[in-house]
Amino acid sequence: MTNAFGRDALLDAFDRIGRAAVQAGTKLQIVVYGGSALMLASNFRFATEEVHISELPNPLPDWLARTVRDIAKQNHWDGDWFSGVGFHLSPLADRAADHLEFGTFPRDGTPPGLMVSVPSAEYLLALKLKAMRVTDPLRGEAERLDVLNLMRVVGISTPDEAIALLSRYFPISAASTEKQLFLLRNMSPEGGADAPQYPR
Amino acid sequence: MRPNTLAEAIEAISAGARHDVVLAGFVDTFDLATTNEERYGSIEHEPRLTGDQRLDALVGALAEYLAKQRRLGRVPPWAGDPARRLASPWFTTASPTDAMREYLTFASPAEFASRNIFTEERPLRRARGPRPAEK
Repeated sequence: MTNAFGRDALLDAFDRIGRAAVQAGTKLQIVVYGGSALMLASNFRFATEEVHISELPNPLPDWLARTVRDIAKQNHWDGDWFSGVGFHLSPLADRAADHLEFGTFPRDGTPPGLMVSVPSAEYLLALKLKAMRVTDPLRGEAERLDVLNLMRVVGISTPDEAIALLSRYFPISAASTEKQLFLLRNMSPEGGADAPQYPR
Repeated sequence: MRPNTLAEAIEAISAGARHDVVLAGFVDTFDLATTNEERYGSIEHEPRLTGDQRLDALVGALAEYLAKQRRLGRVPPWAGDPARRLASPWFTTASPTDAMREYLTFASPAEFASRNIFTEERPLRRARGPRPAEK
């Protein structure tokens, strides 16, 4: 998407998918990761340019592919806006303990067709630490603020604590963390939210 | 919608869209292209200079870096224009410490460092990742 899309637009899209699922006589459960999870469930991220979803059926059933396409057309989003996760998730992440139910859709009290979960703050922080894109020329500043805010949310104040968290989810990555430690020690601590919350 | 070309991306930025979002979208366009011809076509035409010296240099670095990463075999000539180089160094992080400056100086790929942009060793990583290389 040329323009980042916001929370309300994504919630409306989920409403439509939920209604379409009901009409198709089914229920869909998805987990939303990355910036879109933060945008949905935090009080410190207000836009994202991509939605990463796990547990999508592959290929998408006709009713879902059609709905996703219609939403894209109406909102001028790219056709693949509702896309699978392109990064490695943790095999150690627990479906219940490391994820939170964000909500069911549609939100109008009619029977739900879509259940959306997001990763816990700890798991999301571990994913951010694994990628550690805080000095990227395009997304670095947003990533740095995400890491700072998530560290505050989970009560982590030192680089060593952050690496310990990373090792809980990604023990192989945590075996070689010189880069992460260096960046955590040297990145600016400025600019985080006053009272970051996730979930809000 | 994602910009189809780097020149289109700069037009969108000039019209007020966020440069990080638009350029990230362009990297997706480039990565999702099905042929190297298509990839080169997306960077071939020079984006207009914006007057934002960092952005103009970053766009030159981005074009050369993507072309070399994907082994297109050619870099668009405009990317080497002197206007695509910064007069003073830009470290792509807020309030860099001396240690961070040193780190980024050594980590930065040549396509960025040669333009006085000092960034991480694998910039422009996208969660989506590129399509497999063309045979």
